[in-house]
Amino acid sequence: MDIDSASVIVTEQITDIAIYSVIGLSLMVLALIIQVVFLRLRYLSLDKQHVHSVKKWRPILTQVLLGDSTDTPILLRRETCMFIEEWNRMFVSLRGDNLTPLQKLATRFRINYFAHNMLKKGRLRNRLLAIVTLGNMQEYSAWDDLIELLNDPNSVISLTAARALIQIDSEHAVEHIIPMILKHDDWTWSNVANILRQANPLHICEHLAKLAASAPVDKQPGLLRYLEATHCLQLTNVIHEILSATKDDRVASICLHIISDPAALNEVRKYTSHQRWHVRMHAASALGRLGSQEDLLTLLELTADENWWVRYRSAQAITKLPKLSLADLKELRDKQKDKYARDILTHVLAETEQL
Amino acid sequence: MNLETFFLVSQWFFISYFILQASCYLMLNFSAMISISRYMGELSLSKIQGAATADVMPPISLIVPAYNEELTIINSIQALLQLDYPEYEIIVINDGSTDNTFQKIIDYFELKPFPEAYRQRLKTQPVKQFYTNKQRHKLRFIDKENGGKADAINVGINASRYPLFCTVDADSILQHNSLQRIVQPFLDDPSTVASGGTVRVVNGCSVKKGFMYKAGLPKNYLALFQIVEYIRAFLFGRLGWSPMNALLIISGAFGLFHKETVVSVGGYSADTIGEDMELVVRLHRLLRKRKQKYRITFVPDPICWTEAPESLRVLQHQRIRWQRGLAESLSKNMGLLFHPKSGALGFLAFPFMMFFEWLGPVVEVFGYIIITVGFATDFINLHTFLVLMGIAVGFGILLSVTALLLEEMSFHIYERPVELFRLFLATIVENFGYRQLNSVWRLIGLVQWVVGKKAAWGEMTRSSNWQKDQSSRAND
Repeated sequence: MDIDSASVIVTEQITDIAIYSVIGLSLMVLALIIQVVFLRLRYLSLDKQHVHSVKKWRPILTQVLLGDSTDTPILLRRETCMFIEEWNRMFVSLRGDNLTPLQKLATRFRINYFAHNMLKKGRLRNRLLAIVTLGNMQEYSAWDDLIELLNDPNSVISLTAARALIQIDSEHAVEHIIPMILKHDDWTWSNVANILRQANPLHICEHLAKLAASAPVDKQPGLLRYLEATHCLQLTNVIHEILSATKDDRVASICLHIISDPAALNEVRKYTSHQRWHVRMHAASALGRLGSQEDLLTLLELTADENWWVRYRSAQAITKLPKLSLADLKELRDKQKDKYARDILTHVLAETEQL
Repeated sequence: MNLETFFLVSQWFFISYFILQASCYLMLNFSAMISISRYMGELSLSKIQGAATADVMPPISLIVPAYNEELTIINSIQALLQLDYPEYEIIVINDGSTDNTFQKIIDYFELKPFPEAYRQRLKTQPVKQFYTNKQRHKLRFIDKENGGKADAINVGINASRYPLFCTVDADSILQHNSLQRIVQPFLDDPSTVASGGTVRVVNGCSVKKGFMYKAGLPKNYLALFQIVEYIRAFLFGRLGWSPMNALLIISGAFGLFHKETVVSVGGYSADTIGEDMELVVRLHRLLRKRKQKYRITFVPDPICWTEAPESLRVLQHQRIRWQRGLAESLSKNMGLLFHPKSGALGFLAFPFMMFFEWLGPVVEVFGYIIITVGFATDFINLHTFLVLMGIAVGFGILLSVTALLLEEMSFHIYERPVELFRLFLATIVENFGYRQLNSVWRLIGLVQWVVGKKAAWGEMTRSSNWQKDQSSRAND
């Protein structure tokens, strides 16, 4: 074969590949366009159903909440999913109010029965909707199923189940949920905090405090922050105990950050000379909350610290100490020989004057 | 090698390149589809379950660098002051503006000098003065010597009080809940060091008091094409890489960062044009080197809106700047490429950016030229010429339509069917001229990078039509 004919063959091969590629691309574009149109039509249809559902059920749900359930229509099977969504939306938007009439209506419509079915057979989205509904209905019959779901490998399911359990019976739910916190690395801090905050602090603080005191060091910071987020700090002295016992500077930092127990003052003072700056910084802030005139000298020394944050928090702490007027503070500032101490006090005093 | 062989080899090369590029983009698209389905599922659940409560959200410092922004700055700050977030501060940095930006801010917000005990953790140009107002304690204003956008952000980082900082372009338009959305990855995963949100084009939308309240499409075709580009870039360009922790860009228009981590890698690089991308690539490189567990995440919600250029000249400047930024960011962090411990980032995302985004314009522009010359000199016949051009154009259309599919799977920003139809048209028309023009501009950007032209603030002539009437009121 000569070079010319070889070249023609190669050119034909290129053209063939290119033609198949163009055909392939065209078919893919066409398929995508059809899919986009299909999705738009489905979206419009769902939107229409949603608008219809809101128009029909929102006034009825409002009426039921006001105590009038005489004219409630029958729930058609094809409306069930949309109704459940609307019912849940209404429920969430009215959190804290008297929701019993809504729960009674759901029971009358046998929503619990539908939710149980959805929980067992449905797709992920419907299963989640079922869990949320059972929680909002405070459906005790779902207790065992929900406890089982706490171990689900999908964190969205396990967390939604935890939330539902708290809604059904927070006192007993925390006994199951709190030990799971250490096992579930996939549970996000903010989600768990939000769930625990729905429970009565009296039910959770003791369990959380016990867990925090006995947890491995790497888990303690998160648990201490749960104690703060769930308003347990006044109900337990575990922070003081952990602060006295810990050798970990991260744990000490968090304890100092959240501590509000005046009995821990001497313990706090020990940390003002810690080698890590963040520990000194939190100790200074804690002195501002718990300290007295006795701590003024220590705090003034800290305003000359090598770290800006330690200086800043110490200066802020000084302004919070009892029995110091603005004039006293200005005088203190002017007496400082250290430039950094004077600068940071000037800065914080200006901030204080602005507030 | 004779000319005939040259044209033959070139044809094979371009076909192979386009097919490889198409395959990579489609895989990326597949990853983005999985992510968006999951994300939308969780979003719909949060609507019936209630969102996270305010007091678990960490405080944020918003850093707004401003250089010659007298037209938009007052409305932008006013809008930022109204964001729905429990605790945040706004730090506006005037980077030696030569217009009236400084005086407008001082006068409108009645700011007074503040004796800040400033500490310079990141080296920057000198700071002249800090300003605050008792009544608006959220707002802090810093006047400094000109040093560029990166330098201004570094000053903001030095002055910030909170553990997370968010960079916002002075002309960005945010949603009321933008901060709540962008902070979510930090709440979900404590190892998150940065998160970026979707930026969309505001041209054609209705904006009131600094907030976008109704999406729409612009009449200007350049802006319309850019809408398709933005959807493509954000919904599958970034969403596709995010699950693999291989996101290489967080837009400077709106990105949230963990301050201590950014300070530990040296802050923003002041000698780079694409400082936003360079920081993210450097974060990846240095955090992997330190073996630190981290995540850089993307939030697909459309939470930031920005004005797209409506003139060819301004667009050209922007694209040249972006390409230079990309080249600088990648070349400064080449250690990531095929690094044994770099995972999907070093073996997929980085090579992808290198071969298809960084060097892509070279292949595309020369591809068009060689095929056209080959056809003009009879080395390539008409049939082959048309088919090769068909591949190039068809591939572009495929990518744009895929992006529209993702949009339909998720947020339905443009609700009217006529808008969807116009977007369809744009996905086709942009492939006949606009895309090629972009490739040429990007090639110019590459050449400028090779030559080493000096970096400067990106100047953009803004029309800011939605701001004009309010600005004039602010002047009264």
